[in-house]
Amino acid sequence: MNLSDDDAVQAPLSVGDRNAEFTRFMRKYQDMVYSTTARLSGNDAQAEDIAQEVFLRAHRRFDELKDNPRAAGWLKTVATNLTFTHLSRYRKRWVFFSQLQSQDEDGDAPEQEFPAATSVTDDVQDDERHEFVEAALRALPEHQRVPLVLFHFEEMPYEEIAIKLSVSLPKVKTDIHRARQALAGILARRGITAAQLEP
Amino acid sequence: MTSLEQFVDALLRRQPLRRAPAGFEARVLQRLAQQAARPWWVQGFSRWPKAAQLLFLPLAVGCVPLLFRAAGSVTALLQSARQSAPVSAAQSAATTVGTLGHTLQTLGDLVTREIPSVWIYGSVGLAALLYATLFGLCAAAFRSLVLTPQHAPY
Repeated sequence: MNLSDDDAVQAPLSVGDRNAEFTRFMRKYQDMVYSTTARLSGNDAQAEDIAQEVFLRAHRRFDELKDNPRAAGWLKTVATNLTFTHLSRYRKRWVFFSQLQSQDEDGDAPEQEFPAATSVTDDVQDDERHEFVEAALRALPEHQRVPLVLFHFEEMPYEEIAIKLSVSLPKVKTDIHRARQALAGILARRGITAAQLEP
Repeated sequence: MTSLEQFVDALLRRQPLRRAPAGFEARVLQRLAQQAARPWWVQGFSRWPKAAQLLFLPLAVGCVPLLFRAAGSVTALLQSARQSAPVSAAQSAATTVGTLGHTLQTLGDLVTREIPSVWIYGSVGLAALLYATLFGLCAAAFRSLVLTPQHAPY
């Protein structure tokens, strides 16, 4: 978030202009909510729908949320839960595909269109690397991407992820480990290595 | 922490937030405007005015005896029409409706006069309890049979 966004949030608000106030609230948090839904769902269009529903719910409770320091946490929790609800609607289809995939190679990622690799060299730019990482995340199968995102982005411990996803603790650890391997493999093939992360 | 875990953790922690699509804000505001434009009775019960919420339950309960009385009136009306005119297909259908209304009226009389109120309230309470029990059993069955770890996609 840049400085101008922060200024907009702190600007004095006209009394009774609830929509203007809510717009400022939304500008402050929309990237955070969208990031959560997009990374968990792996689908930008669905992520936008889910993020919209998050803010519609936030609007209903806006009086409680607008000055609440826990608003970000509330939004993240609702975004995560709504994404789970959305994903569970496709659960049977997922099971089918994940079983097919596990017969092949559980850690291998499906074919995914990545940004052009022509500029990916040792001096790869940050923006390009960010794009690659997002694309690589989308390429992971759901049963690996979801726990990986929860662990590394949402900073959720293994035990909580296991409870949240109704799976065993060893399975969570295995899936996250395989997700890391798959992610590192995808990125390594495109020239992104640990060495580039050195400051 | 393994080197792989360190690498992925460092990589993902450096990821900036994804930017919401350009039209996202306008889309949400438009949806909110659409919702606000709907009449209150079309919206969820929790968003009704407090007065309407408070009035709804007694009005809904009060409608039940009115329904029984209306059914009785319709029955009487249809019976008088049947006695004063020759039988036709329409009257035959009206007779059926009238019989149904008469049954409803009888049931209403039975409920309000013959059955003690304790039994009525007890039955309603029992029905609610059975409903909650069945709902709980179904929820538990769904969670244990459908949402079990071996069926989970992760």
